[in-house]
Amino acid sequence: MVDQKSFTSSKIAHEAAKVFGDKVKPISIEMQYCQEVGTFLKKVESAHQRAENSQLLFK
Amino acid sequence: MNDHRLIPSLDFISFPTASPFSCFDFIKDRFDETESIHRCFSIARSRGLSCITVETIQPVGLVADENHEITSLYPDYSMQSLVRLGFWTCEFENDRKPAAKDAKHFIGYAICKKDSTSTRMDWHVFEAVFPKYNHPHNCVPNTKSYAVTIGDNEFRVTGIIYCQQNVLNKSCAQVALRSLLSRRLIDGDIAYSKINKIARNNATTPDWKPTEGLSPKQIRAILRSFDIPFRDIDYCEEEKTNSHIRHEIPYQKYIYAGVESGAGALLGFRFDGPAAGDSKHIIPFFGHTFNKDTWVPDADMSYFNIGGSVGYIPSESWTSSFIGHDDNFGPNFCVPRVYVKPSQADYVIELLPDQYEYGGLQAEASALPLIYSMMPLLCSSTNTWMQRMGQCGASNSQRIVLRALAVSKETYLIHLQELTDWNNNQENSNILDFLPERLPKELWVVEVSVPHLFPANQHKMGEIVLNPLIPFNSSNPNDYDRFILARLPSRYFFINEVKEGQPKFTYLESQLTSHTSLLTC
Repeated sequence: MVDQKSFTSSKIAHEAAKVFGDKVKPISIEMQYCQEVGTFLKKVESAHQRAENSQLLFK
Repeated sequence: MNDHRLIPSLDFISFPTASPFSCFDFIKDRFDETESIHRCFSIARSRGLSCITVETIQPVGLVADENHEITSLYPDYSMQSLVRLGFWTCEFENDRKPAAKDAKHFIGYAICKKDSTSTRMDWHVFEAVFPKYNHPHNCVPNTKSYAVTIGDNEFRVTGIIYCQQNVLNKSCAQVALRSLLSRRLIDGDIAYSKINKIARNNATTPDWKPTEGLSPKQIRAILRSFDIPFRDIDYCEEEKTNSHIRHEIPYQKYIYAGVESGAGALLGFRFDGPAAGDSKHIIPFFGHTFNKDTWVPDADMSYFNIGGSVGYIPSESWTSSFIGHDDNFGPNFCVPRVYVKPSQADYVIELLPDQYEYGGLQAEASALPLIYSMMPLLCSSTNTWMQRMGQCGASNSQRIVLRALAVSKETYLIHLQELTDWNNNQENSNILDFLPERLPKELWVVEVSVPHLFPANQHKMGEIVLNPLIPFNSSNPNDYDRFILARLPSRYFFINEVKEGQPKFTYLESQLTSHTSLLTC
């Protein structure tokens, strides 16, 4: 059974370079907003974890 | 778990519904004017109802299971009546029963039950299935085909099963769960006794009764018992430390993501008005309506800011209503997207497809750094559509539309294969041959578009493809292992390596050089 986490972009990139040769080219992209997005993602995930403590009741 | 739908009936009678027949009188005479049953008739009437078939059936399968459970809770319980209704767009001459040739006239069905204890006697809809309203902007993904016997033959209807509470062994929460779970469980349905058994094991008091309803803890336990992943939020809990949470993470985001992924969502809310009290209700959502002329996105009121001046326009902005069931009033209602005020929405849970580790809102947010980091590159591109996307995504406007879809690898690959861009180009077959063995079996596909293109053409610039099977890690929230590829006009982008926390990219030319159609629901 193949580990689904092993399908990564770098693996595709390396194999694409083997298959497509010099058609695969490097490009510079300077990452922005990672901190802001990371903060938001953690907020969403933390809220999900804390929902375990919920005292709500629906009927 | 189909026995109760397929059991032969004890009797059969049909009623033509043309004037002077009155659904009002019929429901008053036979069903005590039960609102949810009337809703079923109304849906059928709007679909061209010509005839109703009425059959008495014996309790078997899930109905028998329910009766057994109710008796254990209420020893004086008795089932007074169990009726299977069929709704048709044709009449059956000379009281004949429907034949196989009548299948195209079958609208839907309802199984209605009259329960009695010493303190109450009520009709309710044990279950009903009607297809969605037949309009291209009425989107209900992942419907299921249900087989039901009417007369001597089996007929099928496709939809999302509707169930009503009976204040005996099921409240709004149990029926809401059954609506969403029935279409994805391997057994094809779920017994309330099973739901309640799990709920009882996770109740805060040992004498918990089903009519007390379910807590999020019990709902979560039920979902976990079936290995159904989810993402939820209790706004009342979060408000203790963040008074802005309802605005920062709106409940509509969870509902829309759950609906678009085909798994659905539950919204728990409190009623409004002076007589509302503390009672809370929970209902399932499984669809939405699309309105390309919605004013909101252009009015800047739909810009979703995730913090630190970073945001986007979610595709949900063009949703006018969510489609769901209200167990008190009936199936297939359109609830305006903003009808339930944020102050009333206390709990929302987005169900995820099997094995998904994070939700649609997180997928959309995860795509943002790459999209906006590309803006300088896009603005300087010779490709017109890349330039347009760069202009829309400039830091002072950020008018990028995102739509996150949970799809299988196969669905995505077929989509890529079938894509034709506005210049009638199709993708390079070498790339289509290369990708299949290199993608995980499931994907979050975050489609990227711009205003006007998204609502008018229902087109996109491309997509960011993420691996949904990698768990979220708080110490590395922007885990680049989740990123698979980005496809934009004329190029695919990959992360070649990550050095000192910074990704290094490579690209490959795509033959799709302009905008393309969206993945359809």
